[in-house]
Amino acid sequence: MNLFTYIRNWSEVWAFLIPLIIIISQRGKIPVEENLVVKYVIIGLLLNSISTTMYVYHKEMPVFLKNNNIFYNLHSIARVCLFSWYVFQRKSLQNSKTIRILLLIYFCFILLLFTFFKSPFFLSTPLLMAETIVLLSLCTIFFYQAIMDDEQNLLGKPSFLICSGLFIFEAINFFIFLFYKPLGLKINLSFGKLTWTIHNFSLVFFCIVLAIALYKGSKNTTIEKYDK
Amino acid sequence: MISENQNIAILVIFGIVAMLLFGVGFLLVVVLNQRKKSQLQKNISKMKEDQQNQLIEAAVRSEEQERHRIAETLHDEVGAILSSAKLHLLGIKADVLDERDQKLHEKGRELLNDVIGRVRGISHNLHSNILKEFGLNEAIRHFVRKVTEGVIPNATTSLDDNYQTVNPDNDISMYRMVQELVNNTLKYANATEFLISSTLNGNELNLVIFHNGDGLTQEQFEELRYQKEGLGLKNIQNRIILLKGTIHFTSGSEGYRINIHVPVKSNQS
Repeated sequence: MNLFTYIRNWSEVWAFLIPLIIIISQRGKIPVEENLVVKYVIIGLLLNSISTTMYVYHKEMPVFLKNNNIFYNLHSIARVCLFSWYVFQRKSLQNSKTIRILLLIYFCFILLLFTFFKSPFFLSTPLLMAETIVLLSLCTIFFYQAIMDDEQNLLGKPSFLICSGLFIFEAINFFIFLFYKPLGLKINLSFGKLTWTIHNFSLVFFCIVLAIALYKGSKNTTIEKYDK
Repeated sequence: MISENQNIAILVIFGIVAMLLFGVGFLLVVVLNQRKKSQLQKNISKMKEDQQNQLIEAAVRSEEQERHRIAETLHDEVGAILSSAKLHLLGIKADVLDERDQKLHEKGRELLNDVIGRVRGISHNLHSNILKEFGLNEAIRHFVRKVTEGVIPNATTSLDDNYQTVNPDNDISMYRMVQELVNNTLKYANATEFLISSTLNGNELNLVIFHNGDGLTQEQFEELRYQKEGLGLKNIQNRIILLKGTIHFTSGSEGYRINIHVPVKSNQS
């Protein structure tokens, strides 16, 4: 295994270590509003560590531990739950009917999907597509509301950075999630690897953005303390 | 079949790039919109600040004009009448009066001299001719000498003579601030040592008022300047805003210090 493959294979794990370093080094300074992001980093690291270990050492694994798809499905659901709750925390969006309806449809959809149509042990393209649609919509609502609210210093706020990172991540992955399984896994494996590498590096980018946002948030908290 | 798959793969890659560009473009629009808004907000607050400064300037100038008018009235009209009254009183032949009337005449003369002196003092205080003729340093020296005489044993001035008046209106504002601060020190501080010093650093004049009595801290100043009773401190604050300077109150083991930094620039700039 060459170095690039090694880095790529483990990128879904080490990417999460970047924000984790910030969380550990800035503990106590990260604002409470960013708690959901901290939770996402920990859950993401845990799920990706398990799925990557299962993927890298799948030959040595017993049969019942060879399939890591459920962790990708769980990661997708966790991402939607935590980031939609993060956007929903925003005061002006707490009464948003659009978000409520969107999330209601999403949860009904995954309930129906895994009850009647798909097994959670298979990578689900409809689930991943639903994730990108919901999160892209939520980010758009967030930006629209921020513009409407005339929010001061929006560009310097962690929430703006987080939603920007998420928006770019989901935009890149829209077509990857759409074609990965039907085209990448079933017809052209090398194409599948390429798209998943793009997915992995977009995740690295997203994690760097999360780290910057958490660091900025911790610095803002320090300034506010001194201001008082 | 292979070629068809390749075409689909290229389309997917194209789609990924297109989505990335869409995402970046969308964010760019949000960022530009936000920048535009914050620039607009900056302009509005700048306009508000300018408007406030204009109001302060108008208030300070009209106060100065009013002082000038009162000083002239006191000097030219009340002072002239009092001098005339003194002349008339002196015209009375005191030696023909009996002892009681002579005492009353003497008392009346003393009181009249006192009133004339006080009116002249108030008039000069309100409209300093020394400031106009000899500049800020001489006006401060004269004022400190006059008001601290017999009240504060060790009152000294150490002013930088390199300072030349650039803008007479600014000198008036600085002089008024010094007047107010010195008067406050005399009223409340019970100081036995007092020093006013100034240094000219490039385009900035630094004035320091030091005394060893009870003074104000920066927090007290911040609090008092917005109270109705603290009219003097409010005027100081207004003049500081007008001069685009700063004022800081500090205290140490030796005493209290007031640092005033004022940029020195001409009226035209």
